[in-house]
Amino acid sequence: MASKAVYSHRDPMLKKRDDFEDMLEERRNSSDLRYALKCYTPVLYKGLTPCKVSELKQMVLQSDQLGYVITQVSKEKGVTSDEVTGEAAAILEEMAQRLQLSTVRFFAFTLSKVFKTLFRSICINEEGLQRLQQAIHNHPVVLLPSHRSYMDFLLMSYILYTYDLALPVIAAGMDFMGMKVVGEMLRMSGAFFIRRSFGGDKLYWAVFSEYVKIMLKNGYAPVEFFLEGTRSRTAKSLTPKLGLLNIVMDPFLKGEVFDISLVPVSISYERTLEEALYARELLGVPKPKESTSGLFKARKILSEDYGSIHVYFGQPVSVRSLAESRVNRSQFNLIPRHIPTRPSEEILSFVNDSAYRLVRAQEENMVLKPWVLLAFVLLQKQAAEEKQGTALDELTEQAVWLRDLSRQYGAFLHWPDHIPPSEVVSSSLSLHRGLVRISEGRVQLALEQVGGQQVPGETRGAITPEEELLNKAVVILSCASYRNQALNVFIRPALLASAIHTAASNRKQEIYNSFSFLRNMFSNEFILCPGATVQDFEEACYLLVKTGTLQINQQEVLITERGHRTLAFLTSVLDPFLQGYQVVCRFLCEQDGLTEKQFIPAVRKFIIKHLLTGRLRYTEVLSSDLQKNALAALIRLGAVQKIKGGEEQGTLKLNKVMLNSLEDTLGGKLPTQKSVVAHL
Amino acid sequence: MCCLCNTKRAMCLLTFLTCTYIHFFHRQEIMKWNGWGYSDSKFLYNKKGQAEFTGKRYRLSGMIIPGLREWMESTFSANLQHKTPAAPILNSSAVQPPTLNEAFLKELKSTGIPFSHDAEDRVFRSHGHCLHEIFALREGKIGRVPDLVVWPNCHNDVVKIVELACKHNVCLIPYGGGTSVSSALECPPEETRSIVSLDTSQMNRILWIDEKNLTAHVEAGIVGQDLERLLNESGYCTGHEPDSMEFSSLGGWVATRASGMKKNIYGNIEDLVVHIKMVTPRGVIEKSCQGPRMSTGPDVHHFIMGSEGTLGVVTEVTMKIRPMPEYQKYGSVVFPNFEMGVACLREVARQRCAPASIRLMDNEQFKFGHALKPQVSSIFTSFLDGLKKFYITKFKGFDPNRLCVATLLFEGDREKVLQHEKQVYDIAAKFGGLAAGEDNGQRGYMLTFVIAYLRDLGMDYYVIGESFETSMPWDRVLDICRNVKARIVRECKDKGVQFPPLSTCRVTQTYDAGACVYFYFAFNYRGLKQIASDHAAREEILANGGSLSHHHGVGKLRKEWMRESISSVGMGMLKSVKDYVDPNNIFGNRNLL
Repeated sequence: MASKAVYSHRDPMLKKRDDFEDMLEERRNSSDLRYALKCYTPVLYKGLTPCKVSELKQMVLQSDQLGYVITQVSKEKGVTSDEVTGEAAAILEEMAQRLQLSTVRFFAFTLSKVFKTLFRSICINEEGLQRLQQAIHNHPVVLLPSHRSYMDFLLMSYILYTYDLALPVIAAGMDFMGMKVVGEMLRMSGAFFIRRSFGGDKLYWAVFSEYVKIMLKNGYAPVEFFLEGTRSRTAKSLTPKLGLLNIVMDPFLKGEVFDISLVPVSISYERTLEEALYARELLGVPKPKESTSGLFKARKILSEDYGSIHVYFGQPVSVRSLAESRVNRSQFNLIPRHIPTRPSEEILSFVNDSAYRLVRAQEENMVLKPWVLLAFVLLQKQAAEEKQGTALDELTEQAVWLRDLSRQYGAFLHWPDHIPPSEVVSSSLSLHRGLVRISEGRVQLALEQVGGQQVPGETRGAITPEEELLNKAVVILSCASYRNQALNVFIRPALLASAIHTAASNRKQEIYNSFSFLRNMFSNEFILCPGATVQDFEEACYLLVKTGTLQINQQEVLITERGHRTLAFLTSVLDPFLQGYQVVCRFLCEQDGLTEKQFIPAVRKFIIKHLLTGRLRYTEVLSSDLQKNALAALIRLGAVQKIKGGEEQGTLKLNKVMLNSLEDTLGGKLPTQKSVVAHL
Repeated sequence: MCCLCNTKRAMCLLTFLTCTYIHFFHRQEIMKWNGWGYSDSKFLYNKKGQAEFTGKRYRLSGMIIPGLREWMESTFSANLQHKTPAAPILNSSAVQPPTLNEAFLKELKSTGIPFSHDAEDRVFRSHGHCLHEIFALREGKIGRVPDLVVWPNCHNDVVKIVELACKHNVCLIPYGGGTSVSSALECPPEETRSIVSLDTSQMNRILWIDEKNLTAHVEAGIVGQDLERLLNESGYCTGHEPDSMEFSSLGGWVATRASGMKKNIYGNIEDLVVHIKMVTPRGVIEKSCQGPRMSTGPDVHHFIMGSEGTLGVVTEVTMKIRPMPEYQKYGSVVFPNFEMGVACLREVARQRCAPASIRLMDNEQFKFGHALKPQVSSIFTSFLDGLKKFYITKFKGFDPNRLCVATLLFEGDREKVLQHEKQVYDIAAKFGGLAAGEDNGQRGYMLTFVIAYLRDLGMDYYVIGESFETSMPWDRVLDICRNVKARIVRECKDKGVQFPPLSTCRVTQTYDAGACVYFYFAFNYRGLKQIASDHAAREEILANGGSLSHHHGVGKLRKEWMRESISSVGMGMLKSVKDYVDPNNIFGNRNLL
């Protein structure tokens, strides 16, 4: 019921989106220096009382909220409250931003140079910026960009500076602080730093949440953070993290401000800077610790063409309207508001639903390039082991077919319709020439020569089959990261297609059960709001009926004549994930004792073995992201239990009966049993 | 007319009024039937297009108010060309013929208690002063009205009437001053029995004054201004001065848990009442003695106070009285912004040194008050005003669009008043407050009495307005003021109101643990299908931790929120009292529950 408001059932074709303008165009035609020194007078929040960075810190330290926690902590630890206050001040010092216009101007200058070299264009929906400006004037604003690259937050500030909008303060992970100079520069361009984990540290939490709230409430600056918590290495949206969202909604829920505007921002890169880096990280080559020198090494990146960036500023979402008839705000009437309380179930589920809604809003406005569709086709061909590749015209035909399908599903596809499809395809291929190989008019993923390219020092003979596999996997996962950009468009229909495929009959109820099972299984993998199964099912049915793939009556689901192609495609979308989850189940079934830490290396080894023997079809199941998600899902479903505390801390307790039956159900060997479904 | 009003020691309200006793049988002869107050007193635009307040009753009477027109035009985009005049006289044919209970009527006649079923008498007692009630009357729309009006002369008359009503199953609705703003006087449209309005206006005597104990025993129909005036003759006062005191009655105060402007010295009605006599269908309820405090189970007075006419009729009340204060002094303080003003009031409350009255108007209300300045008599005064304005805005750097003003009233021994005054101004200074003179303070309080007249003027030109109040803990005052004002603006926008509304508030009372806030909103409703209500604003108040009402009561207007306000068990407790006291729902106005 509650999630009705989260998914409004509407025709995705009718979605109205703004046009884009290229902001680099002006940079190419006028002086960067003059631009960096331009007069900057943004529209500010109407209720703003301007204050300095130091005053802001004082406000935090003197707040009732923090005062309460300081007294509490000093009693608990038996130290004076002055000492605790000192500790709080130190935390704040480590955390706080020091936004300085001069640093921003420096970045504006440098980034102009960098962006012009790297990108063909940076396209912005200017109407979105106008809406943002209005929102900033009226209410405190929270900016919620998608997170695919380190570039994201510099880019955001760059855009806001360019369009004379208020510069945000940005919640950044502590790991950036390791980069000495850069860390401080980021601080001066508005970043504030949060430790990645501070679970039980009351004082840290109090300082942090009060700091964010005070900046937000006073309209000091828009607060920016990443709902996904970290960069998505797979280009799929990550399930949202709720901590910060909870904090920024609190002032509204407690009546301290009239409203708060949440602005989802979708940043899509035609080519991600971190493309191969991510793939290697997912395969177990650990990510390099962020360091200043490392960043300079990245300079060779500068010589490449990364296509264009699209940034779409979405419709501001009013927290007040989200909460209307959803949250009973009077629940905060009986306890002084400065006393920290655990949010009620009602609030938690509200924040969770809102978070999903916002991530979906980000997804919906992500611009998809034709290459994303090509990635679908190329990966499917690769998995089908078509060794000789795909003929260009066949690839084009399939891409055009997919273009029409994805548009019908509401994708925000930037396919230049005035250019012949074959040219669109070949220009896409040329931008991503590192990933594909074209010979004799046939296209395939560039799997063979990669090894030689990546490790030039070594002789080819020294490469073991395992290394060769991993090299192949780098390309496949890189390619998958493009395909993943459009998964959200197809996920609900794909779940339905797979459900139809595995269900024993065409009875609607049975298909629904199967759908519900799959959806539940994959809710750590894709953005599927908890509790919205019925809505998702209806949405999927609606899309497939509308596009003539299915006919659905009271009881039955029938596949139309021309529906088979679509269904085959949709099933294959989910296939790698189905296989991945199955193999994780199989792996766990064969284990005896296993700790959480051992899981990834062990399952990777297991998968490599199976891939090499040819028993697995999809190389991409090597992705640690998939493996982690599968484990999280199994823990959520109770097939695996994580032991907390004691000597066996971190040990995984396995319910093999259930793992077995889940594996079989995923493989379609078992019908979606009542018992399994009931479990979920 | 009475000469007492000229005395310099008169109570503060009385300084604004020339006295009129209004306990006529047919009040409509001197009062408006479809607007506020006396028929001869109203705002209008004269032939020169200047605003003017007519009549002779108030200080403002007969004066030109030069700033009002511009303020009205700029605030509401109102236009003098677009008039919405009210229906001038009551069209009796629009009134449904009375449903009379003949048997009741026959026995009533034999008691000799006066009654009437004249249409004008009935319509006059069919409403309070909510916006929708007055709006309907102006449009000549008349709904269910009482079928009969009776005028008991004393407690025993009431006993007889209630007995007859029970015997013949007639619905009784007590009527005091008619100043309700909670739809409490509206006749339930579903009521099929004959409805009798029990007008207490003839029960208006002070029965005795006890100078040893400083109490007075008074009939409940007495109207506020009469009570004060009569007590003043003996050198006493009650000090209970609700804004409606010109017209509201003692019984009404008890039945709604009224609050007076000077409660800081004298207390609210629950602090003032020593003894109550009420006639119910079960008989008469009263305590056996006049002890100042008792531990005899839950205080039965608290079932009566706030019962809003659902349990019976209050007939006589023993009230505390005080010697009239020796000295009164008004004052005012200008603050750079509302936040500072609230912080100052909070500090005054913390130190428990609130003057008889302390009120804080927000910036919009400050400007409004400014617009209501009567024409100044000399160039010198106007020069002085200009100088003051210059000093505050230029020299002190106050932003004219943010500053706000607190009005003060001190009362007591001269020496103590001056001492008290200094204490309060010293606190104010800590919050950036500047003393802004007695005149501003006095004008602030005068506005209280004429503001209701102003609504009628607005309604002549497509501007409608409403006020409502609430109470809340100190830490929520600013949040509620901001959010409720913003909610009003948003609701108006959502409902298609073309111009931004006037949305303003003032803190009117301070307590140890919180404050009372009064909101006004008004807007130009041209082009609108239906008129708005304060429903959304109340939702906002409750969501932010404000109360359902501080002193207006619940009536029928706010009934829907009673359960969430006092819990289901609380509702059950009240219901069981009602069921015991009035099982046949003789007092059937259906307020509260």
